[in-house]
Amino acid sequence: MNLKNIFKTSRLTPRVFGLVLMIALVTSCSEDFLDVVPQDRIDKTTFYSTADQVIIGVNGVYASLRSDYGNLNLFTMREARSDNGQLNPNGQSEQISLDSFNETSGNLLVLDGWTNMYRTISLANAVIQNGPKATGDQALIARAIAEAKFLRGLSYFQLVQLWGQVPLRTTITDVENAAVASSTAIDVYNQIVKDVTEASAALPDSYTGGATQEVGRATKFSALALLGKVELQRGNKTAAVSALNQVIGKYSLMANYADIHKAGNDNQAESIFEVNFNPSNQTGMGLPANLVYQSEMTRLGSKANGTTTPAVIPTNDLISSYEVGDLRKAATITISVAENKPYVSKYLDLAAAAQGHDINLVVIRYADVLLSLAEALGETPDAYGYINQVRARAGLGAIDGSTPGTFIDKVMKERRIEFAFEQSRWFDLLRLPSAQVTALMSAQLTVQQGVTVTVTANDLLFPIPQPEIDLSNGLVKQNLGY
Amino acid sequence: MAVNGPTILSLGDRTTLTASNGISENTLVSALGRLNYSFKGKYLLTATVRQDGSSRFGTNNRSKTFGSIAAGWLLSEEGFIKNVDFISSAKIRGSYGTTGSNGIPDFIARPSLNPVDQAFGSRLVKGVYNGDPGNNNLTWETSKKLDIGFDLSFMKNRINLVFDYYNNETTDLLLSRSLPLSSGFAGTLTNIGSMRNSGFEITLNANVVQSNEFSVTLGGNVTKNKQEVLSLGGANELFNFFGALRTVVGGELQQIRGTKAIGVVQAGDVLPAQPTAVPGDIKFEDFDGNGTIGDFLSKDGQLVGDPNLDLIYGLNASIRYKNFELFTLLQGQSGGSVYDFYLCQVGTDAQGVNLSKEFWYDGRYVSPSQTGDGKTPRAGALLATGGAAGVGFVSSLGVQKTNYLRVRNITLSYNIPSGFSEKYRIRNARLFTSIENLYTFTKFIGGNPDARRNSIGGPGLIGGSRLSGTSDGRELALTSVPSLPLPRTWTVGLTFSF
Repeated sequence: MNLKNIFKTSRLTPRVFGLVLMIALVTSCSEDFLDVVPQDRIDKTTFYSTADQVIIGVNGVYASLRSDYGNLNLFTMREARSDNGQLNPNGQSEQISLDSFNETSGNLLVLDGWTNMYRTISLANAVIQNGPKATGDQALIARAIAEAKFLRGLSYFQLVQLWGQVPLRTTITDVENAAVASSTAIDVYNQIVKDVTEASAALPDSYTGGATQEVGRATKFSALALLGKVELQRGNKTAAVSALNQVIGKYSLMANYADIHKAGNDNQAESIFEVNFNPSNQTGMGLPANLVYQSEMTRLGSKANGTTTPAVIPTNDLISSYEVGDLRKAATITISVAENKPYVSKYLDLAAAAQGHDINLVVIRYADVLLSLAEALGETPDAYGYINQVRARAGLGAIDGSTPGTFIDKVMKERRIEFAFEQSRWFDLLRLPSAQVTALMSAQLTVQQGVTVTVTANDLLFPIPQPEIDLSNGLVKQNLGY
Repeated sequence: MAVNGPTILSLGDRTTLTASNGISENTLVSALGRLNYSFKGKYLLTATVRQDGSSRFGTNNRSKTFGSIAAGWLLSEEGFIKNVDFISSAKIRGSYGTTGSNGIPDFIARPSLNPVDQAFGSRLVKGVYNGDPGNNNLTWETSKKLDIGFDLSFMKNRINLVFDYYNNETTDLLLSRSLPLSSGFAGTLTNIGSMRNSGFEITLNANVVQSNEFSVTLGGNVTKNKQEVLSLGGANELFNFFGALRTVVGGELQQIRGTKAIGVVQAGDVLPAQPTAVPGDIKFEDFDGNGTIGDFLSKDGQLVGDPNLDLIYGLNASIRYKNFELFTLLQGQSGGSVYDFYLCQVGTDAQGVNLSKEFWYDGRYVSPSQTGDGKTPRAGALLATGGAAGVGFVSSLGVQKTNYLRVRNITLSYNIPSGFSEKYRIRNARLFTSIENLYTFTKFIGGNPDARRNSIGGPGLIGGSRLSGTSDGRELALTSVPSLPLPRTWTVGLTFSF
């Protein structure tokens, strides 16, 4: 209200007006009038109240995984940090620092990865907390809650491996009181095991494929395989064996390694859980735009974008670790014709256009169960049997106790080759003694950068993003060394 | 299966184009009372009271009552002034009152979800992701406004002067408060803290020369504003945009936090805090003196700019000689700055393409004998990995002042003599040419120093168009897309009236 205008009005009509009007708002009437329900978004206050809505809710959690596994920053944090990938030396310094272990707590790319994972968790929490109150098909609701627990466990598993002590959020955020303290890695692992165990008890063995029964949702075996990997990662080998053994025989290896990530080969016989991408609803996979040379895209006749300088390229160390005759090499790495440089060609859908590639990113597959079980069992004939299944598919001969090298070195090498650029290598390295990892990474970076680089045990965890600490009133603790 | 919720979805054909749409709607209920009192046409008093309810706020606090009182004294009606020929009219004014602002986006107080696509193999389904976190307690931002001023006219109204001093204290500020990102939300809109804007406004118009053949009119206006955040609801600092923007008690809204670039490393420089720096790199201030340079979020980060304007001014002049008239309008501002995310991001482009020539190239360090302007680093310096990885990302290097003086309009017109026009039964005929945005005097690099990234929300407070930040990063002090320059428009015209 402009007082000056009122004043001018009074000057033009210089006489007493008197009391013109007084407030008489009928409160109930105006409250209805003021209650405008949005038409262009979903009102969260009433959502998650039916079985259909709970399913839509959990669909959103799956969708959120695309910005985890399909995210270049997280791809960088999981692959370029390891000895498999190296970053374009002319890239952004923030990005390069992720590879050379000198990132700071203010690194916005690390923050991006953190944010994306916790977004998945917040969506899962909404399903888990609201689901039990929803009406409708209770069996369907229970399954959706189990799916959300699986997805929450998967996200916390990523978080705890990357950052260690992280805030453990298992309920819907109260925005008035949003800060949550760091939990120890042990507590985070306990929550993951609880979530994934509960999920494995409630999820079906498989899906029929109809509406709400889409193949690609988490199954009982997705949960068991994840449980086995989690137990192995935290050193509970017996528990890992028990979980993984339940998955043996439920899936099979694809005959041809290259078919695992072939365009359109979604949720195939080897796949236990994967992140789904599909260009036909604008959710195509975009990583190749940052991994593949534009000249190669053109040469191969693809309409999809490549890049003049791939963000992450294979290290020479990885390339030289392939045994002669290993069929996996050609399905993973290609030498560009124009640049004569190697690039990651594992994910290439030559029919792709601007909407991205019709390729799913496989998070857990049967080969992983075989090799994880072998690792958990330790040096036994059974373990070599599982490793040799994977090697046979790659066109390689069997190995056994007489093959040179320690058992764990042999498992690690097999995993490195089998899962190259499937965002697994860094986490595999973390199962080795930390002195061994720091020595390995120091040596590799020293060769790569031409100056002596020393990676320390503190570097094995990423820094907790500084804004998270600053906004937590001291509840969230920084990792050592940052 | 359809998403039960939004009644409209995109109308676009997804294979050929992307369309988006939304429905914005809000309701406002007001009741108003006013009392005007005038005594002898000299003493004036107005009191108002009103109650406003807005649908934009949380269900708990939609309505609020505001009131004001204003008094005026028409000095020129008093005997002792009435007889002074020199003064044509004089008035002293004063007002005090409260007003409310609901300048926030619709529906933001309601927790919401947005639809998202999901695929399972070839089966396409719908899902949801987080929208606004919502806030049921969100309510009116309230300003207590004190205004004291006078209106004076001299020499038969040939000179008019209006002066106002104002002091606005705003409470329950509608500000975006960052949330820990682990919450699943970037931030939430809250009523938090208070702020004062005080200053003065002067408008002066004068008919310098007034005759039948020749006249000159000059006018100008100045607004000077000082902003101070008084409290932040117990917090010392508010974060926006990952902490690159900070609101601090005692400071202004949404100041820019970054490391401070203090020059360019020269050959022979010894920099203990930047051991790997090479000549041409950016030299940063070791603000906390710990011997290393951290990123903008570390203790080496400091406030390196603020977006709030201190001064806005305008000048106009009109010169008429016989049938010719020349009109000019100038406007300007100073005291604000902006962090240009776009400029800095392209500066880190690995290919070194699409860089701003003015910003990165012209003054750059080339060699010890060609050190440039001492401010612009060597090509590729932002890519340096050294000890200051990522530091270049938010630093004072990307902060630009938005000061400018613009020749907004020049119009030359000729009134065609009536003798000529009457012949064709034309009452008035005027020939004119005008140029809009002829030139902008500024050191700002980019399209338009006036452009803001955000254009939604709040009423501009005097001295700075403060817009309420929202949780999606529409912040005040950032530009992330290059602004378009204002078009320069040259118009030639002929107007008739019959």
